[in-house]
Amino acid sequence: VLIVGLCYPNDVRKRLAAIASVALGCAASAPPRAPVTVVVRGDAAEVSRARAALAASPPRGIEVRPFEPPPPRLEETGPGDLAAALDKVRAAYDLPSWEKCMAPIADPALVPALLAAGRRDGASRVLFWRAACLLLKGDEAGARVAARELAVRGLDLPSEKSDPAVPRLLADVALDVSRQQPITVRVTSAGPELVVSFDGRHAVCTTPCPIPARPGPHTVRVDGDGRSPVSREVSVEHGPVEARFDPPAASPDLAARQWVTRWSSSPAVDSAPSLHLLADATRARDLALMVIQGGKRPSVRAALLVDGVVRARTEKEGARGDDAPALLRELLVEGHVIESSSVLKKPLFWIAIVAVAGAAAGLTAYLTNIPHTATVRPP
Amino acid sequence: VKKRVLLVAGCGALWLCVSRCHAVYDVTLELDDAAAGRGFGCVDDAGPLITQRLQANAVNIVMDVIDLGTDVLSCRPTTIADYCANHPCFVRQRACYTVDLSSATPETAVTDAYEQLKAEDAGLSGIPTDRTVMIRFVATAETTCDPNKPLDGSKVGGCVYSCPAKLDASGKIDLDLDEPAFVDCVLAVEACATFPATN
Repeated sequence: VLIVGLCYPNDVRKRLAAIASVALGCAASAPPRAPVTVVVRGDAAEVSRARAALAASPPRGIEVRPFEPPPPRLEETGPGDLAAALDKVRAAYDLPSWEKCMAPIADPALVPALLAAGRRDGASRVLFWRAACLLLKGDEAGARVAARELAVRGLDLPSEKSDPAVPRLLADVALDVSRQQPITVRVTSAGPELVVSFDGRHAVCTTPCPIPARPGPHTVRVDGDGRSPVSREVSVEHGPVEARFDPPAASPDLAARQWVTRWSSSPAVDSAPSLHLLADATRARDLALMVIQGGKRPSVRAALLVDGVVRARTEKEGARGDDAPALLRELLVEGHVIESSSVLKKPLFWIAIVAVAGAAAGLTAYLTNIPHTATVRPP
Repeated sequence: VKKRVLLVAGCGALWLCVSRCHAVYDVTLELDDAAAGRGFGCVDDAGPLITQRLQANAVNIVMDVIDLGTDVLSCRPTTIADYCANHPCFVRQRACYTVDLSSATPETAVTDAYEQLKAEDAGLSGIPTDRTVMIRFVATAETTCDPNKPLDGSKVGGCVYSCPAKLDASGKIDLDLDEPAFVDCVLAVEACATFPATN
């Protein structure tokens, strides 16, 4: 610009200088670095190398934020110390003392809580002993209610030592229940698909789904990625019932534990649902997941999620943890988070080329038409 | 990539400057003894034209650039005359120089004039290089230097001209007077000085 500018008048030089200063100013003011949350999984040694490489040489203009998922979520076990409670029940039954027998298992919320936790065996034993304790009391009607609940929920009879009248009652009631027509419980959800557990049976179906059930109380639980689990008692009586669920969003910590439990070891760890859950867990706008395989056939799979949308994927055979920065950069370029460093891929470059070509053509035309002159001097 | 861009930009800038700086060519006129003899050595029955028609102490040397259009023409007088009969030919620019030949003899007049013109720096500039032009040198008693006013042939003491050319390169260009054998030199000198007729 400076050299060419010398050929032009002062006003043109000033404009050229202004253009040059603006261009230099743009180049000098570095843009803020965009944060990208990066989750690296896979072979432990390669993961360490990848993290170190990303920390040492992040892609230009990018602030790499590593995310370490929490340990897997502990399964909900429901009410604790059931075995001790049942030992007390059994001892009281042998005394016999129906009050002491009933006391530890009288809470009506106990069975739903056990079923919500998937402990069908525990629920079955509680109902068995309720029936036994009530028979001990002489309350056959009450014992039948407990026996009916056990049958309605489809629980297996436990092998407990008791008076033979108890299993006889349970079998009799079960026969009655089996003769009743099942009624449909339709489980629906307001948002995304949810996994339905019914009376402690895990993953019976996903919403919306119909479930045949005998009339009586049932425990329905729903789970979903990024949602807090919800369980509810649904009473089935004469006609079809709809149980509608709208569980609240999971906390980031719960979402992270859900991801670790359900997806981190899955072959589909880089699938869209997995990435969405991970985004909930990390609360990141831009999220990159890298899965590194070590050993004799190393490879890296990576995916980029931007604003909840999977923008880019890549897979490199032979790549290792050290290649993480390059792969991340490739992902970010493909996902249009950053621009390619190659000028050939920059629209501005081609605009400049066209502009320069146009200017050159114009100048050529201008210079071609310059009225070149001669000066004649006398001999 | 930045280096390549800078290199291309630099070459472009250089080319631009060079293109612009070489837009003017210098052309110097050449007049050898033989040509001077034919153009300025015309003698009729009354003697040399130079001494007959010019005041020796203030001889007006007129240098004309005659525009002949854009076609390429041969140097033959008849070809040029025929061409100008059908095309606009005119004196584009004119420069005048005064030389003192009071101490010169007819034999040394041209040499003296030549030596005095060498001291002249002023030439004719701004001649378009895309036009076919002729350069003419006339020694006349007229003192006017108006390019729009035709020279009076009867006051001309000598005349030489160049072949038609486009002055698109620096160098030298020869001046001469093509004098047909069947025309006497007075007619040839006057025709040379008063051409083109449309002027």
